[in-house]
Amino acid sequence: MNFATAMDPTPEESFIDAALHEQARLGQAGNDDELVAAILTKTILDDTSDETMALSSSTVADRRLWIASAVAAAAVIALVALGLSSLPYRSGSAPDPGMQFSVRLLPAEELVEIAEESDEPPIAAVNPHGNLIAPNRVSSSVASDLDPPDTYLEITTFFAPSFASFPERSVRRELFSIASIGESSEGREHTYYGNVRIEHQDFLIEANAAKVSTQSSQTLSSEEPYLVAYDVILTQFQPARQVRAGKMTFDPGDSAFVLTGVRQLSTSEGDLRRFHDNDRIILTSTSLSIENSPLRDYQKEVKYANPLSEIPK
Amino acid sequence: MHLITIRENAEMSRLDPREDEDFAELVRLHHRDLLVYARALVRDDATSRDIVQDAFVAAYEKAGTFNITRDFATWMRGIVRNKWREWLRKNRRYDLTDNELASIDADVAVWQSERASGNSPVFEALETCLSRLPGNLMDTVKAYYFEGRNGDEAAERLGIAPAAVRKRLQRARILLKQCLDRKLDNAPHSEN
Repeated sequence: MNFATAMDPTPEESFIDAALHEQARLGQAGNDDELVAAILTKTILDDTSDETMALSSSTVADRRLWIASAVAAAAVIALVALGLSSLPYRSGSAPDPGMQFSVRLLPAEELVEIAEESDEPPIAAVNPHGNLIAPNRVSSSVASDLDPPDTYLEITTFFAPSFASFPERSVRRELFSIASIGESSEGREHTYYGNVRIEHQDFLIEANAAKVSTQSSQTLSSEEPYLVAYDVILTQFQPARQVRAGKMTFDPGDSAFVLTGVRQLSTSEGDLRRFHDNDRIILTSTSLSIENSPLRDYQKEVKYANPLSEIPK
Repeated sequence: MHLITIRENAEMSRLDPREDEDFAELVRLHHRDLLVYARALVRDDATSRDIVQDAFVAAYEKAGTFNITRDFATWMRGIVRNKWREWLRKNRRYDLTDNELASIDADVAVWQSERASGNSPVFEALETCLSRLPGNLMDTVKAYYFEGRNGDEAAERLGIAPAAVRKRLQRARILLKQCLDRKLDNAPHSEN
């Protein structure tokens, strides 16, 4: 037997040791939702399985509907449990009372009406890429082999008057189109799963599962994400960047995508793969930043060779 | 607050992995127990998740061979064990003797059957047992498991020698195991 370190348990203690590790990682009743989503995607939601391929097109449609209703309960419970048990994204400060959010899901046909609304406060030039998006722009930049999305997520951020640069109340809208194999709703929680494709003016998000919380105004702070996606490939069109990560949340306050569990970052300058579990990438239309874990987390992994050769006596 | 409810044994046994709807529910119900089992075998978080994922994919593909009268948890443990053996062959890591493997298997099996009977789930019981640990052991467990420190870091934080951390962890694990065993022995068993 060859145990790795002196702290490792004996085989008799292995079970308790494993349970403690899982308890610390997921909490008392939390589920590993990334794992569950990955398993479901590779099994019942896998369109390439022989059984599904053999079905007629009408049966496939029926089957999808059936799967959607069948998996809905499990997916919703699992994702809601994650929302309650896992650490949500924290911006590091208390919710800004000068900022309010409105989040709603819109059928595609309502988009035109939204674009024509004119009684809103002036659009703020907070972010040059965060203004109202014309409906025809949403999916024009990426060729899509999925059905056209039938749902749009609109997140509106209202900024209270502050400082000299924004003396009046202002507003910024973000619009996302969402397409997926299946979806379910429970109250204000909407879950999408299976080949989830979320398009934004500057980004394309491909994920195994996503959750949207539609809440209005101050009832939901930025500590509780409106949009979360799991097992994500996020592609930025200009400048060209791509991030592969376990989880992505959208922070409307900063118009930023926050990615954790990062596996790879690709830019025009090359690929980065060595990320720690707790590292975060924060991506906006105009910026990219990487927040590293505290140094102590790396101390477990980084090992240096002894530079002094030992001369046998 | 937790939204997960534990199904009664009778209801769980009705779930058929050959049906997609039931399979999804079985994944949700069993993945954590199997993560604990896989982690006890491989002692690595990422590998244990890979093994559990591969095991469920294999189970889905072989669902037609599953005998519905058998226990799904036992069947899945067997698949996880096979995936672990595949991993061992590729990765030449430490092995376990048959007795050690049987011991881990028995621990997980008892836990799973208690949960299936609708009794206190293991993580709830573990939480209770943790709260009963002596203060110095609890501090050590917290530093090592819950704060993610390695042995040297935990020793530095607690102001003790690394060897003392190892002894305390060992003692804590033994006490927790005894506490859990007592809880399982005293748990009311269902009629199923």
